[in-house]
Amino acid sequence: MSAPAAHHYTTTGLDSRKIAIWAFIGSECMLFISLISTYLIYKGRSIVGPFPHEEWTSPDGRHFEPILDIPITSASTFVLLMSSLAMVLALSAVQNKNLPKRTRGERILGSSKLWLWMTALLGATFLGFQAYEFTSFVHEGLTLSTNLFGSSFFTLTGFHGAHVTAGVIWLVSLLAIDYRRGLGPADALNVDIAALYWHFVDVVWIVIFTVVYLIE
Amino acid sequence: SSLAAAFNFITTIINLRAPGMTLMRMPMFTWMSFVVQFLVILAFPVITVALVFLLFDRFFGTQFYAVAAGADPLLWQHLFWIFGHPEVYILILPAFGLVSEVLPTFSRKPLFGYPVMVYSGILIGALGFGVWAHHMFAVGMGPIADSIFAVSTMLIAIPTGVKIFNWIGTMWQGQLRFTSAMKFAIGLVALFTIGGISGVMHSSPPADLQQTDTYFIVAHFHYVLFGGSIMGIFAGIYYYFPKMTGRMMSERLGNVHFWLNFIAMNLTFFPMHFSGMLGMPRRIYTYDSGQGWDTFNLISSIGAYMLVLATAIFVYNFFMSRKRGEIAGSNPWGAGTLEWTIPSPVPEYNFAVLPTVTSRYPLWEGTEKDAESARINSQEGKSSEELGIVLPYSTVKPMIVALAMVIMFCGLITTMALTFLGAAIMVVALYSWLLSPLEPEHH
Repeated sequence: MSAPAAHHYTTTGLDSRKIAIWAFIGSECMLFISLISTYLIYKGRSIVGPFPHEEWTSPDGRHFEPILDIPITSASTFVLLMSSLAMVLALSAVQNKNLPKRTRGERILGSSKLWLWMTALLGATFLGFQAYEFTSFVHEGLTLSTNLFGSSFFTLTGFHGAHVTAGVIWLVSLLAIDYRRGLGPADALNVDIAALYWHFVDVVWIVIFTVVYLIE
Repeated sequence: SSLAAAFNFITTIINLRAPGMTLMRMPMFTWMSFVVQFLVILAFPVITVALVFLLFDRFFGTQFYAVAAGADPLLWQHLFWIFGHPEVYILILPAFGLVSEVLPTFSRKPLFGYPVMVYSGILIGALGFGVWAHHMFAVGMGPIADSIFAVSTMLIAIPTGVKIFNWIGTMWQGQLRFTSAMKFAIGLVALFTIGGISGVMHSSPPADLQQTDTYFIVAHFHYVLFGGSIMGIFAGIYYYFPKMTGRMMSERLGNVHFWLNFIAMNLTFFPMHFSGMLGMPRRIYTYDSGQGWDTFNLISSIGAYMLVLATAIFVYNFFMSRKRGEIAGSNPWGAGTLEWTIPSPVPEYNFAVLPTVTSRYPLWEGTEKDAESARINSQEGKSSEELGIVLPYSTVKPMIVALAMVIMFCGLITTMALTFLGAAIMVVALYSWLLSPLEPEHH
């Protein structure tokens, strides 16, 4: 991000960019609400399998197990949740950059580079899980065009994955700036905005995980 | 891009108002635009999803709209109209806002019932999300859904009707000046009312079963879109042309434009009420004669040609006035709001001195401080450097990002290689833009 703008008069006392990111998140909510609603409308209406939670035998005798793997996806959900924790620590490190750090623990918690890396890597790990899941589903016979479940599942989780990817790129960009000139309290707003986006993407995943994987 | 503009307007209106400009002192055009931006951020993602489903069905073989695979035949319609209905309020509310600026100026009276006008605008925006399936009364949703949407549609007529009465109240016993802008604003009040009357006729599902997909509907929406939005836009152009260009449009030509437009518009669209009631369907390219529609359609055609003539006169007036119009000055209309305190055309920095607002019509009701700040702000010819005002750098980078997005989307309907090329240019341009400083260093 560019160097922060000087502080101008504002009606609310908040930085304008904070308000803008919330408006953006509002529109993203509507995007995901539409995708999730479509998934819910089409739940249970696929004519042919594979199905998410029940087994199915095709007319030509092939047998399909329920295709969703709850244990593995629970692990990837945990990874994404931990990435949000790392993001909180990264923001705190940036905000408190100039405070003295006397103990090793304080130095670890206060390293913005460490926590930005952790957030990006955990996010990338989540994407790795998604890539594995997508390829194994395709291998097992579920594609975008197989049935309503395939269409709505891949579109919904694919859009979410694209948003996570954009977030990881954003985090790596912040890291590049941190390496080049360092991120300090003056950059706290920019990191806060990235954090808001990252937490939003995490919350969307919680909803998707609940609606798609946990509810039968 | 609609979304990006919406984020900008929402942020600006929430956070960058002048000192003393409380929400309830804002001009009505600003208020209505504010409501509209919320409609934009909530409605546009829904049509995005609807179109993504269509795109994916066509290019990736998904089954979103494939009835044979069990898809809901109504999914497209629901998604589209959840966008489509708020969209028509997006189209009309700014026009309402413009009328609420124009009528007070040319009645020399403040807007009647300002708070009610604000609340009704908000209510129209909010209720506008609860009426969408009135576009689907003929698809067989069932009596419960039909009833709910019938009631919500009838309800939304109330805040709209309230505005009509408040506009009449504004003009009542005012000193009326019938400039071109004023004529178009009054035209909206009259013609939108007609469009609203046919609209409320559609709100009854059994009645709509006859009206839907006929020219009766076409008559309705052209009255609200042409008689409403377009009239409001013309009013706004005649009103703000002096502020934007520093010159006046020809009132003589504006008068011709208005009357030709008003008569032609009614000639074109009023007969459609009748042909629609007589059963003429929508979306046909030809029809058999002798069904009772011929004369009505002939009148519509004549009216349409007249509209072309009227619009040509307007376009000529617009471009001619830019070169040879009378010089306008900062407040040619004697209006009351802040934009009329600054020079025409408006300097880059807008206000030389940030005004402190104490009323809705600072030039009419303001204190001595308002008059003083108006005097300072109306001085011409000062550059931003002279005034010590820091403006952001000019840069072509946003345009390159936009152009790259165009290339990306063209690739979606031609070849994927273009999409990747556009995406690559966009990423490079975006980083270049974001990493360059916004404005010169200052303290």
